[in-house]
Amino acid sequence: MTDTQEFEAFMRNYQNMVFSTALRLVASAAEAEDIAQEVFLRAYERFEELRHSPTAGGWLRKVATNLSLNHLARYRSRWSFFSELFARTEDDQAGPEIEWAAPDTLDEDLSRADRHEVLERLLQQLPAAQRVPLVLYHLENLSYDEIASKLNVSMGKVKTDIHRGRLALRRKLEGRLGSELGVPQANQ
Amino acid sequence: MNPSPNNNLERDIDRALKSLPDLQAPTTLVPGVLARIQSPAPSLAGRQFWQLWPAPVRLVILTMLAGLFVALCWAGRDLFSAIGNSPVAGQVTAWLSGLRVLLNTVGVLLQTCLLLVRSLGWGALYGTFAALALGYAVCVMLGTVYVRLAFARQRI
Repeated sequence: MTDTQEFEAFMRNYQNMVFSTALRLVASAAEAEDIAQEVFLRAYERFEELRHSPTAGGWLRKVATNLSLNHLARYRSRWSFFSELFARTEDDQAGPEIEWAAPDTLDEDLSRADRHEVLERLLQQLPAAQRVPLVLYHLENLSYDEIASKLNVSMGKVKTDIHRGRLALRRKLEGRLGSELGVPQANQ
Repeated sequence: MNPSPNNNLERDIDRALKSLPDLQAPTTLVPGVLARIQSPAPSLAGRQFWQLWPAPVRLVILTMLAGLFVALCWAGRDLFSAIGNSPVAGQVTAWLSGLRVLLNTVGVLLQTCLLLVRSLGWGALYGTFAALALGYAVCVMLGTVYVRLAFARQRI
């Protein structure tokens, strides 16, 4: 197997993970594909190190995250003021907090794949100011401190944005999926 | 003790998001990367590799460019002195007279503006600038609202 063939197999192995990481941050399939391409070009330069490395996946994920954040900072900062303005207006219209429904109200007809698709779509519809810290916290497992440092904002803002993002996501999910979050409840 | 609603919210959102499988990457991703690996963009050779060129080569190129610049300046000076003694000079002077009229008009306009500011006072000038800035800000905000509305409609 030539180097190129080996690298192609390497890419096919990780392409979904890299693309998903970028897409959940930038919320645009075309931009996520460009970022994923850039990630793999960088991986190609270090393929000698990565090809047998057990941490190759983690390295790719980290590069995808950093490139996505750079992309957002470079091309979208001009809109951030207005995004936050609109996001705040949406939050103000949220109304009182909704109580969690009991597990027996789950809609069994909705398949797991449908739930995932809805959740993915709703996540991408969140304003960037909420989506990005939410994804970094829950999917990239970064701490509040690390997120604040990466986004160059205060820790208080990170916590507020993540909380608002969770509330907005739950509200949207309850609007689409009925009265639950689209995942089975844990054994209690 | 019951967990707080915020903890419940964090736990449930965490579980929901972590349950998401990876999305399917577009089929064009891998071929796109392979194409870029096998045929790097030609513009890179000039744009990015300048710093990678050996220092003597860069020095030679810079010296040649400097020499070319001096030669062009020399040729330009000779050309203008040659034109000065030819019938073309009259034509060039005619073109320049048109330019002079334009410069005079601009000068008159500037003087008029200065007189206007002196008669109205600096407050009027600041007010005009403030109104212009406000108008610009309103245009930007309206543009933003329209863009966001357009994207919102696309999502629906």
